[in-house]
Formats: sequence, structure tokens, C-alpha cells
Amino acid sequence: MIRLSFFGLCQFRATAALLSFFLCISASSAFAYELKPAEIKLLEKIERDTLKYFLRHSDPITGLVRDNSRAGSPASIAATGFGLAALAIGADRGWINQDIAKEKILRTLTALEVKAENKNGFFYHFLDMKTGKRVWKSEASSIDTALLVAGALTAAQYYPGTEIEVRAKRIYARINWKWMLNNSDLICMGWTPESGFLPYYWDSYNELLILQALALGASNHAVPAEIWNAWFRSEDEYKGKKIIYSHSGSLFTYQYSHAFIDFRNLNDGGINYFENSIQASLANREYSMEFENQYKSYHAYSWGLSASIGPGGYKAYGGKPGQGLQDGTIAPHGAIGSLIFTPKESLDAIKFFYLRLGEKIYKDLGFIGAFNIDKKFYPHEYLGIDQGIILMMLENFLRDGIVWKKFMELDAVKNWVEIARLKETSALTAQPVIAQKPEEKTAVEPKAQS
Amino acid sequence: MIAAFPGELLRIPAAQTQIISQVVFDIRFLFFYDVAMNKTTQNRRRQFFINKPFQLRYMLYVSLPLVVVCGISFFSLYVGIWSDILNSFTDQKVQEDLITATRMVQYEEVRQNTAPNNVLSVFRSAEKLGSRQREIFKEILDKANRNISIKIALLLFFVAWGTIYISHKTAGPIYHMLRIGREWQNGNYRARIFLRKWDEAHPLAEQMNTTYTILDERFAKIKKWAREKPPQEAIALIQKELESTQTS
Repeated sequence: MIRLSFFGLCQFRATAALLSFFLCISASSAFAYELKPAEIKLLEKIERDTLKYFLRHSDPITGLVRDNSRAGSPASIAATGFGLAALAIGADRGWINQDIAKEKILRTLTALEVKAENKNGFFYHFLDMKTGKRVWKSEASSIDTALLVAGALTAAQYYPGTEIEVRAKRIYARINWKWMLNNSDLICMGWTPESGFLPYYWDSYNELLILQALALGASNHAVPAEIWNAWFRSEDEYKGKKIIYSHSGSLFTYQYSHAFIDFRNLNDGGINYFENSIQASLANREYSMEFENQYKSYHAYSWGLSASIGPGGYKAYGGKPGQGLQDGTIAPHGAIGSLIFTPKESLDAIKFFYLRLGEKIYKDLGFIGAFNIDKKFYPHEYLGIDQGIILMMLENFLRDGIVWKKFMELDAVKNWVEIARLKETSALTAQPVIAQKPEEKTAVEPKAQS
Repeated sequence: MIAAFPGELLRIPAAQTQIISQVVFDIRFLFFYDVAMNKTTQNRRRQFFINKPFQLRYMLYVSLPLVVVCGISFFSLYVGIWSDILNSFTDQKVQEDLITATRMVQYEEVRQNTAPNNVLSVFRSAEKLGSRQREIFKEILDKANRNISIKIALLLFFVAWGTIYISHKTAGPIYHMLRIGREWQNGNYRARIFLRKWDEAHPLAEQMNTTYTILDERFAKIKKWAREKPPQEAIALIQKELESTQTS
């Protein structure tokens, strides 16, 4: 139980009850959750404040987005991808002037196409904000390029038939996905000019789904179909929840691909990744609640173990199944990013974060990256990718999966669904299916041709 | 070479025309004698300053832009590099870079699922920081090179423009002298050299104009005598007029 004073807890519950009492008009969403006007207002405020990160921490000339809000931070291509989508969403919402948003997106895409250093279309993870040159000896990153392209294609879907669409698709088309296989059947994590391909591959379930989707669905240099079945779908159980899990158990691994792809009706040989993320989010919450007597930050309304900064630096905090690293640090973006999976639990957390912890963790650009009540750790720092996942999940949640609808219309996504033979099914009936036991970590057998 | 004296046009008798042509030749030779003599002795240069103000002025014209170009180049290079180095390596910037280096290593550890090892992480952070500092130095030098290249290009443009401007002060008078020289060669002794206020060789132009004014007046008198006086009297007058003239 969180160490709230009796009065404090009562105050929080009273505030929530008052909100419910006065705001009796409800709105339904695609997630079968009755949203009250006050809740919509709060979520919209968070989304709008979060959007400011991409305006304030992007270069006015190149449009590249800073990795984090600290001074001296380089640009991150993943954050830039989220930024492109965020600008399109902001303009669609009317929070940014349409012309300004279009111009900024176009400028960013131009810089990416012309200035940003890349290898065979794969962008370097960290770039100089102004010149687009590789910095910090970073790698040409496969997953970050995928997130960037996903963001660019999302923005393109908001502006069909414009130069934005042309440029975004050109950036996507020039990526040589096959090259990143490095003659293997797994996609490599990256490549550096100094040492060639990194000795790490995307070999098991995590945020790799978006990378796989774009690599398989590409019209140019697409990877072969068998790549889809080459990675591990390891399953384990936590408190009765069977989950295809990621090694770290970090919430972001269950969320990033879902920001773009609507997995609700996709069935990967019996696995429904949407349902899987629901179970993973609930398990993550319950795992942190196991330690609520140890840490003040952990509570039924205060959860979210995801990769974030903490008192000891940036760590892959996560739940079980997985390595389950925790030290009392909570990443608000963890719970908010699971809003589409666990609306009630996430909303409870959001209201707790906002109403109870308030200004300690909610600043000018929305929720800070992480907090740890025991360590009195409330860093005024934001990460671009955290801001991105908050914004996109809120948009999907509040507007009936508008980003999903646009993204799923892409030819590349349709190609991937067909190539990967993701039989359509209803999320309500889909059940996660055991693919592999963790100890039997071998590649999944290719699915039977349907 | 002697220019044809336009006697036909003035209807001067052939004998008189021959004499007058000879006179003109003599005068021209006198004028260019000094120049020719100077040429034969020019290699000696026993006297370093022949025209001190003129030479000093030109020394200034050449050396001043050079000093300016070199000064600005060195100053820009020095100040540019050092100001960037000082800016890039302030306590705050180094601290920021140190945090970023640590963060980069942590990102990699998270992504690659490698267990954090404090000692190894410190080494990897130090390596990252070192490589970042090399990047910063390279950026600074590239920036300094870019800046200095632009400045030198601009300065060279101004120096080139200045050279043309300054050389015009001598090239202009030479051009005018050549043009008027051709006029004189063609028999137009009314032509005069006119120079701009700040042009060089004003004394030379004045001397040449004075010489040709005298010649002009002399020819005018000779032409008048040839036209108006009886031939014998004209010849006598011309002979008297040319008595003081030294010819080879």
C-alpha cells in the first residue's frame, strides 16, 4: 500500500468520487470503457502538454527531435519518428496550425532524406541536431529506423497525395532491410562503421513487431517471409496470466508496435498480441504491487515498470515474466502507454499521478520520465520516446484508434499481414497460445500454410 | 618609325614637307631619348629609392592588405578555435557530456540485455566520452576551416578588387599616354594627356603635355610660314626656328 496519510488517501478518493458524481455524462470509446467528460478533458490536457515536447525540443531547421530534454542531448531518430506522427496528430486536433505542422513535417523529412547520415537507408541512432551527422559513435539502428519510418508513414497518412507522403515513402523505400539480416534469418540490431554488424539480433518477442512488419511489408529490399517465424515467442506465466514475454519485461516492449499497428484482429498462429499486452500490463501492475510494502511508489493506482531513468541511471525496469528489475521507480509513461490495454487500471494511475502527486511529477511538458518516492527522485527530465508513446496511445484511446486506422491502410502493412499470414480474428476470442517455453528457446516452427 | 606628315592635306610643297617631317622626327626622338637611356641603365639600380614617396606609397598598398589578410586569418583561426574549445569544454558541457556518455552506455545495456557491470560501464562511458570529444574537436576544426575559408575568400576578393583599384592609378595614365601617343604619332599635336586627380604620373603627363604644347606651337608657326610666306623666306624662318633644336 502506498504510504499515503489517511487524510491524503481519503482526499484522493474523495476527489475521484466527486469527479464521478458531478460528471455523470459518459462517453464510450473503442475500448469498451465509459469515459467521463472530466476524464476526456484530463487526457486531452496530458496529450496536448506532451505534444509540446516535440515543438520545444526539435531543431527549427532540421526538425530533428532531441533524445531527451537535458541540455546537450543529441537528436534521436526514434524520437523524431514519434515527433512526425505527433505533429500530424496535433494539427489534426487543431492544436497546431495546419500549415505550420505541414511545413515542419516536410522540413524534417527533407532533412532526413538529404542531411541525415545513414547506411543503406538505416539511420544512425543519434544525430547532431543541426547537421544530421552521426554522433556519439552511434550505430545505424534497425529498430530506431523502423520507429522513425513508422512515424513518417503515419504523418504521410494524414497528408495523402502531398510531398510529405512522397518523401516519407521514399525514405522507407531506400532502406535495404535484407542487408540488416547480415546473411542470417534474424534482423541485426545495428551496424557501425568501426566494427560492422553488432553481435546482437532481434531474436525474441519485444518491440520488434513494428520492425518485422516494415521489413516484411516493404516493396523494396523486403526480408524473406521466413524471417517472421525465426524469432522466439517465449511464453511464461505470472499469477495465472500466460504471456509471450520480452526478456526485460518492460512495458514499452508491449506497447511501441501497438502505437501504430492494430493487433486486435490479428492472429499469429494463435497468438493475439493485443490480448498479450493486456495480460502483460496487468502482470506488470501486479508485480509492482507485490513490493508495495517495500516501496512507497508502488500501489494499485501507481504502477508502470518500464525502461526509464531512475536514481541509478537508465534501466530496463520491468515486471514478470521477464527479468523483473525494480527499485521503487515508476515510469508514468508505462501505465499511460497501456491505456488501450488496461483502460481502467491506467486511468486510475493517471488520475493518481495527476491529482495526488501533481506538480511533483507533472510539469510543463506533461509527466516527467520517472519518479521514485523513496529516493525523493523527481527528475525534471523528459525522453522523446516516452513522450511519443504517451501521445500516440492517448490519441488512439481517445479517438477510436485513429492512428491505427490510418496506419493499417498502408500497403506495407497489408503486405506484412498477408506475408506473415496473420489470420484475422476477434480480440475478444483470441487467446495467447504457448509458442515456446523459456527454457526451450528455439525458433518457432514455421506456421502451416493456410 | 616616322609618321607621314599630312603635307598633302595642308597643300605644303614637297620640299618643305620633307624638312618638317625631319623636324618632327627629331623632336620625337628627343622625347623618347630619356626613356631609352633609362631602359639601358635600369638594371643597375644603385639608388633603391628613385621616387621615394611613390615607392613607399606602393609598398603600403601591397603590404597593408597582406597584413590585414594575414591578421584576420590568424585571428579568426585562433579566436574561432579557442572560443569553440572553451565553449565546448565548460564545466557544464563536460558534465552534460559525461551524463550523456553514461546514458548512451545504459541505453545499449538495456537494448542488448547485458547485465550492467559498473567497472565495464565506466570504461565504456569513458570510451564514449573520448570518442565524443574527438568528434567535438573535429567539428571545431571543420567549423574553423569553413569560417576561415569563407573569410579568406572574401578577403581575397577585396584584395583583388583593391589591386585593380590601385593598379588603375598607374594603368589608367599608361593607357591615356599610349592613346595620346598614338594621336601624336598620327600628327594630332593638339591632343593632351588628362589624368584623374589621384592618378600616378602627373609630373610625367605635365612634362609631356608641355613638350607637345611647344611642339604644337612650333609646328603651327612653321605651317603658317609655309602657307603664307614665300618659299625662300619660309625656309629661312624655319631654319632659324630649328637652330636651337638638337638632332642626331
